[in-house]
Amino acid sequence: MTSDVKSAERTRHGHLRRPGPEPAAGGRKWHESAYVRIGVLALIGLASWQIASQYTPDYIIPPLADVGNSMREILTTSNGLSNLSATLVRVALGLASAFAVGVVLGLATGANKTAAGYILPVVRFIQGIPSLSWVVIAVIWFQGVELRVWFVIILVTLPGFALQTDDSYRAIPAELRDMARSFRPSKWSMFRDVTLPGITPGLFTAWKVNLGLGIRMVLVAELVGASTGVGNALLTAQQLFNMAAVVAWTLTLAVCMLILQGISALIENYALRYRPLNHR
Amino acid sequence: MTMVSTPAGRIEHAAHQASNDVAAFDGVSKLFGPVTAIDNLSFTIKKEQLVSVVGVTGCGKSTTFNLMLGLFPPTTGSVRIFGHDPYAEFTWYRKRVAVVFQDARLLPWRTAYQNVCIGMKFAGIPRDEWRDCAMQWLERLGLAGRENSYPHQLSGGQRQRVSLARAFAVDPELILCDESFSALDEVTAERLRGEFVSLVRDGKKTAVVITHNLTEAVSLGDRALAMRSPGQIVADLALTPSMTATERDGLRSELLGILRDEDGAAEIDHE
Repeated sequence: MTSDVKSAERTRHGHLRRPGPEPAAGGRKWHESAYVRIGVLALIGLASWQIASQYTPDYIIPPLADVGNSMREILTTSNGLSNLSATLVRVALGLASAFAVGVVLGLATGANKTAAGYILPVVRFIQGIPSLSWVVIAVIWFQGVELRVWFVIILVTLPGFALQTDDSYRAIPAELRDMARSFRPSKWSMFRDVTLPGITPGLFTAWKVNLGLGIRMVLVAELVGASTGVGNALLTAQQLFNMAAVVAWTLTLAVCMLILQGISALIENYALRYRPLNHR
Repeated sequence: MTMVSTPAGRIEHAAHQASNDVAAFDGVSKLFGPVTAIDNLSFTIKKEQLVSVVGVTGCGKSTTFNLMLGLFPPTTGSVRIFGHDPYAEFTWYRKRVAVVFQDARLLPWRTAYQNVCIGMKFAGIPRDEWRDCAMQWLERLGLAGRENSYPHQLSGGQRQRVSLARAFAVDPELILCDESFSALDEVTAERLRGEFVSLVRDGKKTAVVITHNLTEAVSLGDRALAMRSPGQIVADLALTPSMTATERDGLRSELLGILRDEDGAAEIDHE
């Protein structure tokens, strides 16, 4: 009897009620699913957009069909794809370069007080300079489009990588280092087995922040200093008052961003699989 | 059982053969700025001895431990481990010395098995020897089946067992323990102490156990050194396995008296 009582639950009036069958799908009702909620919100947004487009000029809120056509054009024409890929390649190259330099600087400052004394003030100074200033400087200094964009993205994202690496390096517990040192490892082994895994969570954080920042900065740089890329395509669309193209490019880039963030999250979950689930 | 009370900073030892000495401190002093952590400390530890070093907080135990480990040099005097200078010849001790710390200090990104392997990797043991050795030690320490668990999935006692396996897996000649059982509950600590002593005896290792637990100090090994600040040995007790619980209790009380005399209200674990 006791086990029956335990398994039952009391109603508001104190009567015992036997538990019913487990709800399907992990105990959640269908309308509590995040996917359903996102779908509902998207439908409401699209419907509102379509209704609003009936009462406003196309250059304010274009019809959904026009936006769809523009997106199809982006994804199916060589011009659209080349602009998209040009931007994504610039982001990738810029972030990879900033990552490489930033990690080296961060490791140097984390490991060496003298290096930290010289490098960190410079990095913090660079971080304090408005991003748009770098765009203007790049346009004045460099003639080559790629060099301009590369320069801007490096200067804007490098401080994040360097400072995060520095912080992560310092956050590695001294106890772990002492433990490793007690076995007298080689410097390379110490780096590969203690330092690198120790700074990895911080590197993922830096990537997540810099991915969005990098894409935004490349767009701005392309707007003012490039003849190809999404930024340039947006500028052309703006000059033609083609709002459908502006929305289509923006949505395309946002989707690319979501895909990249998803890939990053997958890699992060795999790399940090040792952590308890609530710490990932 | 013998007990030798000594004048400050000095202890008279029986004649010994130098080749039999694993550790030899000779007139060692260590200053950190104006603070004297150790003053004129001399003692030797012989091969296959299991020695516990007990004292109140801040008496210089950890400084002595770190000097043996070679983490820093003495200000004056000489420290010799296996006849070599542990600070100047730091890498010479690779595979010869292993440490078990107070907390297990496992790499959180590695499984129990990988944490045992990492000690062997750091010590330069060939990779093809890791697997059998690690599995053997994990099994011996009661961790069979937990080799793929990450540290956060293990209890405190299990983590410390992994730490012991990591130390013994490199097959060191000298094992240094820094309050290795003090963070565990008494039941687990008691069991691990017993296993540790067996492993040391079976492997014919030399071990130095730093502790602030008097019961641990008088029950663990062949010899207990009592320290007072600044890093001076005030008692050197010879212990034998045949000692009864009553004899050990008497020794513990005597030690407590000595440490109280020297340091007033001693900050020491009476258990």
